[in-house]
Amino acid sequence: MSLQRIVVLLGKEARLNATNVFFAYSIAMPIVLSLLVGLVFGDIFSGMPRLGIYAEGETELLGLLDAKGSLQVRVYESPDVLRGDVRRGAVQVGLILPAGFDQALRRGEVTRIHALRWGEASLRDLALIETAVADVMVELAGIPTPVQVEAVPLGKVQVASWSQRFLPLLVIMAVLLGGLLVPATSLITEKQSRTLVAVTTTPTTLLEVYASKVLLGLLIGLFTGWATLFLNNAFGGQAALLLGVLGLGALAASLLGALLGTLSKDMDTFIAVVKGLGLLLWGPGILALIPQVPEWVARIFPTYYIVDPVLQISQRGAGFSELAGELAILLALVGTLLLALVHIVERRKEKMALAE
Amino acid sequence: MIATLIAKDLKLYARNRLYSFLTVFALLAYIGIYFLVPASTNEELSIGLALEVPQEHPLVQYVVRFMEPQLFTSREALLASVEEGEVTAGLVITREVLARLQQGQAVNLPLYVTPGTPSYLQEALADVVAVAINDLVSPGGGRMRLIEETEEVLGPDLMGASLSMRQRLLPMLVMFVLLIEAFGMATLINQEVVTDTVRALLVTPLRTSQFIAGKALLSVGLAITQVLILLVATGQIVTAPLQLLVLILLGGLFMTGVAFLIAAIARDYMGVFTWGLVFVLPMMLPGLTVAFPGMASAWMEWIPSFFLVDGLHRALNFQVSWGELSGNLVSLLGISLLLLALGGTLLRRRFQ
Repeated sequence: MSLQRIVVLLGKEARLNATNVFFAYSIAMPIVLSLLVGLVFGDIFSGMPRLGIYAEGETELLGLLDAKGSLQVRVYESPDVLRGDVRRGAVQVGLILPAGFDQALRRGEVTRIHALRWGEASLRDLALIETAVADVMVELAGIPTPVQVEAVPLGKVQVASWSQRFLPLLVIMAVLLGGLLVPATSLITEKQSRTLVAVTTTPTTLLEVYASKVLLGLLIGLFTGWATLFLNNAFGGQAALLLGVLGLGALAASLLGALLGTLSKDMDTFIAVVKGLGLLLWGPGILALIPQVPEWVARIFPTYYIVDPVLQISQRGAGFSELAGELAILLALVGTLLLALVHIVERRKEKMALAE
Repeated sequence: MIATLIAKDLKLYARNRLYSFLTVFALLAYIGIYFLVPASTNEELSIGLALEVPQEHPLVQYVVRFMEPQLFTSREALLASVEEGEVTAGLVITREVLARLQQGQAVNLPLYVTPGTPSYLQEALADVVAVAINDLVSPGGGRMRLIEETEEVLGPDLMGASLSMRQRLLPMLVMFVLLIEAFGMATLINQEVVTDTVRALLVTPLRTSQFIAGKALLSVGLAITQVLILLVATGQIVTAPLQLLVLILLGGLFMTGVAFLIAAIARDYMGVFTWGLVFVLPMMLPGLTVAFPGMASAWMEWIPSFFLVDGLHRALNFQVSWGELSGNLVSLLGISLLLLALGGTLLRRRFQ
């Protein structure tokens, strides 16, 4: 296998597929759906006040504020970046906490903090941010708070956010549509126009052709998955691990797409197979919409091992060690698909050789 | 000659059902959306308070002065008002609660919130009430003695008069009108290439530069007309007419450059659609961040459409001076000329 030839083929694939309706669909659909879900149900309209914090030292304030769930809290590595985000309204208030902030509070010393306020922030949001921060500071300082207030919603209240419930389905759609559709439709088109045979009469091998298609599917799946997480504000801190897991998921989808593209006689058969596989593919996403269903049911579906690690990392900050089991299953899935694809490609090569 | 070409193109544009429909429908939809979204902001946290104790009690007076609640004579009246959504949340102060507060004993207060209140707001409202009352009953002033805060305001200070959703949405709607226009123009040019009518035109005395100039004039004209209709219909043209006209003109040039690029790269109709998405989706982001600032990020300020949307936002909502707007205008002019030159050159190469 020549890496140079694969790169050349990848470029050709990207150019040819750029005008393919499935290519546009696989890229646009998850993004449009994310925006729609965000607009209809989601956090874009949630109105949750936004607070940014730059702490010069360690502070428990961040964890306590995050646990409250009444603010969107962003942590910054530099005061200049925080200042930039306050200026553009990405966060409405930015707090710069000095080193030893927690210790000073606990000792009951007067502590200086610098607050940056976005001029366009509403009074209501400023009041909510101020009280949430004050409440947490009192807790940190250990000041007794005799009055505890508990919110009692009247009537039937939907507590879980619908955008959160939709996120697994959106992630599955993004990774699968992007990864699966492009290699599959590209292979079917090449089969129908008999260009695969033409290409393999050159020094290019069939495996290299497949590798370039799988690689393109992987890149598209990775991009749409990333874009979906970004649009849903679910891009967590561990970017490398998240990209790795998204990449594995996109690779699995792309390998499945290449398999289906090879086995499907024509586009109609492929679409029928995808429809038939629908429940198996989208299952974990659909189940996430129904909180009454126990979590173990979702584990039956292979795509669970793509979406769950992604969400664990992006939403709950899980690390590699916590996800080792699920990632091992995902790797096994990728390995199985890869072996199956190599086996089929080899058989096709033999058939083509016999035909010659 | 250019005028004849523009008249022919207008007919072609009108015959393309998809873009004609999109143009008219989108324009009407944008005007409708503008008037549907709220024209004012709700800056207040309306809290109700039912008193089962005398209002003259000092602690009650503190609470009333600090929280400025709407007062109710009975628990039932308060609950009915909360359930109807007339106040966001409600609190009942009973004799027992008051007695416990006076003795410094722990108190658990239920805060009734309206049905459908998001969970974050329930938590936030509970914080507001808890922090307020704990500050009042805590000896030594509670948290007030802990922090010395210095505050710095970034951007125009609109304290108490923040922008409404309607004001935030308009720059984005203008941007959308221009983007749809870019799609339409790219399709129009691409059709000429695909059906080879461009070659037929260019064997006449019409020169390539005249052909491109005709397309540019038509595109900018269509863009300006549509945006003007939107701004007149929403009544916002009067806020800064000259600045808005200049911005729209530059926006039209910018989108024409984008349309030329798409038309030059795309092979056919599907190509226009695909490349259109590739160009247009990122261009929408700065518009979205004006409407929903929580999405804003530093890298989005590198997207060329940022200068247009930001300029519109400042002109429409902050009545800035020409000096303050100059950065946006110069950047937008530079980018537009660059895009026009690049798109025009690529188109010229394609025609040859």
